[in-house]
Amino acid sequence: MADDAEEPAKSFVIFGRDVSQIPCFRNSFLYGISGGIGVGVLAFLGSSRPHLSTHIGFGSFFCGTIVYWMACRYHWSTRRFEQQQLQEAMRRQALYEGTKVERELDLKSA
Amino acid sequence: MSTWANLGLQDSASPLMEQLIFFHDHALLILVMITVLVGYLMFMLFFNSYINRFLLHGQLIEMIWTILPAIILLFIALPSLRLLYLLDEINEPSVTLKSIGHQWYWSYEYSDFNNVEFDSYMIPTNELANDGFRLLDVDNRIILPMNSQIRILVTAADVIHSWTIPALGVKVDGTPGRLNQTNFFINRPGLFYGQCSEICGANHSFMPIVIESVPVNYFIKWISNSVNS
Repeated sequence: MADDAEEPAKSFVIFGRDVSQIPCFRNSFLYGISGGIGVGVLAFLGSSRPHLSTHIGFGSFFCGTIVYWMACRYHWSTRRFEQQQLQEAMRRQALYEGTKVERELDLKSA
Repeated sequence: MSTWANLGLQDSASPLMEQLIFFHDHALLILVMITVLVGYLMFMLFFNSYINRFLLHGQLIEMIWTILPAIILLFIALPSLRLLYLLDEINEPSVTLKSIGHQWYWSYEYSDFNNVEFDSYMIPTNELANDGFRLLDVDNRIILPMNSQIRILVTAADVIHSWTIPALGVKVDGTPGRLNQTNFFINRPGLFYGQCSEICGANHSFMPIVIESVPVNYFIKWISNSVNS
């Protein structure tokens, strides 16, 4: 089974909360931190000014983390809603299968 | 349930509490990032050697630090308002529970079912079983069906109490002479604990609430036995 092959994600507990289970948390900080370091290094290579490069790197980390988080959470939220709608539709289909309600719904959708 | 040194929210047992946890994570990340930003700015002050005694204003930076927080607040406010209105949605409850706060116990009534009524007192520590939860276990738990909309009407007989179950995201004040209503939905079986949340006298900390969530057929069996006894 595909689930048996997956390794369980490593837990990362901060103040009693396993933050690895928070959707989008891990990716937001991975992209934010790596983007901040990358942009900061490039800024230093281009300007040879350590203070300015640090500011640019931190700004990239800040903006990158927040922007990625907002986009990721929005998409996760819409996908979750669609998944719940699908689950409910499947439950109702199983409930009404072979009944008059299903025939009426089929007529409406036809 | 709550254990010692519990800092965060309890695991949810209700879709609304789940949404509250998602919103909490979202708002907390924004707050953490703002704190990190302010900490970075303060740290950088150690390395700043610029001095300008005649600095009066800076239009551009003032625009930035006005508009940027407004945008960030928008990203907090919109999910917050969505959740606020979601919490107020009207549902069709299948069971109504009445909860009356007294000094210092709760009494419950299931008026849908031939007036099943009982009182719920905390089990004193000296009478607690070895596997019991101190200051949380009660003699009679509220039995409710899972995966059903539940309406609860809360009031009080003497002073203001507050009926709370953190795992369900429910906190409703019980005020004498007033009926407060809320709805909730339990999506898994188990025991859910809460404590009175409005100061009501000497034993305010000793009137807990316990909900036992069971499958619907178990609930029907329990309520039939309660009606018959």
